[in-house]
Amino acid sequence: MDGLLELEFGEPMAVLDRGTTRPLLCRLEDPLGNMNDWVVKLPSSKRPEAAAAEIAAHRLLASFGLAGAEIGLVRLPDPSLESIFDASTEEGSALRKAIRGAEQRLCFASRFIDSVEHVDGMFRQRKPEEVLRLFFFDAFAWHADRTVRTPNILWCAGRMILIDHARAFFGVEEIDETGLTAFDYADNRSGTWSDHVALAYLRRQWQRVAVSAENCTQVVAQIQALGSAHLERLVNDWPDSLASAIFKSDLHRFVKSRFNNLPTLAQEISDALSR
Amino acid sequence: MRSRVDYRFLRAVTNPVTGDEATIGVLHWDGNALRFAHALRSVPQDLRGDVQRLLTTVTDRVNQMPAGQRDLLKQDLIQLFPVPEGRGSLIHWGKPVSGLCSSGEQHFTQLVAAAGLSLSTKDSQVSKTTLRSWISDAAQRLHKLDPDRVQLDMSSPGHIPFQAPLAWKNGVWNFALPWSFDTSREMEDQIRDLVGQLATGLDDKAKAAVVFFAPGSSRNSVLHELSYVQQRIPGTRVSELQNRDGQPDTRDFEAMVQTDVAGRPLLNTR
Repeated sequence: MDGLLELEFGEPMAVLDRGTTRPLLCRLEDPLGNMNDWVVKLPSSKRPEAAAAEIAAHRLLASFGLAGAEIGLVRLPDPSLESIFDASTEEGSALRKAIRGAEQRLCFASRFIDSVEHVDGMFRQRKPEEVLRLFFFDAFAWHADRTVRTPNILWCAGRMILIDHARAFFGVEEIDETGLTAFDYADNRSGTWSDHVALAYLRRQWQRVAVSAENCTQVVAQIQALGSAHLERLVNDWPDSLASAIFKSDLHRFVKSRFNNLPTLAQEISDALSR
Repeated sequence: MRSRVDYRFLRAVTNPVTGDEATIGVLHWDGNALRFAHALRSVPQDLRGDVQRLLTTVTDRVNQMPAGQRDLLKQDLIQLFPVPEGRGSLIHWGKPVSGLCSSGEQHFTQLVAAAGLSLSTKDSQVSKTTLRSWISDAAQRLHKLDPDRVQLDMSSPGHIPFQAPLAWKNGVWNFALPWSFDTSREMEDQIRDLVGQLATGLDDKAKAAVVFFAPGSSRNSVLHELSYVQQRIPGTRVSELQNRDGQPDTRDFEAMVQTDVAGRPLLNTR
């Protein structure tokens, strides 16, 4: 797994009140023996392929010129060690439950970052063109979980760091062979175009001609230059145990169809922003 | 192989009105070694005297605690290390945390750094050069007392000699080997190096005295490991130098040399 850290479990620190998954803040050990704070997503029956989706989305971010938090995989401790963790604390209890329910399963982890969460006005720190790429990425990856209520953007020293892509590629199994239905962002069952955290900002920038259809075309050109095979490889680079072979196949097909229809996607985005 | 580790932070309320707190210490147990580190940087000036007294008490208790009792650390911490009444009520233990690690020493060092206690640990460390200069200063004083039997800067007589800042004769020649323990290095590595240097640096007739400095956070494990060294290299003695606010306390070491040379301690000339 290229660039995917294999982490060792240390100790649970807290349950984070972030999103519906309520991840654990844990101290994990990297291969060099360094202990750091990581956000660990425990396995969820609601979306078993969430970890694979997180990794696939994270891999795509760089292709769009965007940054995410460092990611890795951590194996839950052996069930025989369950009693080490204090059941009277919320985090200890959550971990014990996960250990019992999932035989040493791999969990997705992203590095905890000292940062502030996104609020209105933060986009002004970056160029409008970068915010457009963020919007384009979410449309491409069919990721609707970046709303005003749950921006999933952290700001660290003026840098925009994107997190929580567990709901990316949501419903990829439902696209048809042409992939055309996937272009309708509003059809994504997990959210709609109109809720996106950057929509209002980008519409204002569109009116001021700070971003335009030309910028959308540039993004398309950049992605096309990478090639479909490159993107397909990026989104499929995760351990087989994280999700079913069917999901892998669906994801592969989805990204391929997205790539082939990039100009249409760009047109849809232009239409949405110019309204 | 990952093993269990337990730790607990010591906190001080720095502003009773707002409830602001500072982490001032951490007690750490990895199943073999009990460690404690602390720092007063975040504690308001007027509280430092009280907090320092409490920290000294905790440090002493940690150092005196028999190994067999240490597995009580988690459940009985409050009883073992009580927080005093009155002003001390501003100080309390955080919740116990348990986890897994590959190296207790490394886990502790990184925890200390993460808790912002690292400056204290760093401050309490003494470089090899500094330790050698402390011993050299003591050596000058001792040399004046008996120039024939106390020599400065002598090479040890072994296969791979080491340069001793001080050597003294007591039937056999004793060579001082300065050794500053470093919390950023694995203890196992440091002990392996020490045993190697003693084994290769001496012949059958010479003896060594390891004149060491141990940061408070790892002092317990240093003392434990040094007893192993003394078993492996019979005749080796150890003498601890302490850092008193940046000044070396070499009294015990000097008394040892004086006793050897004169058969009884000489008057402390400092």
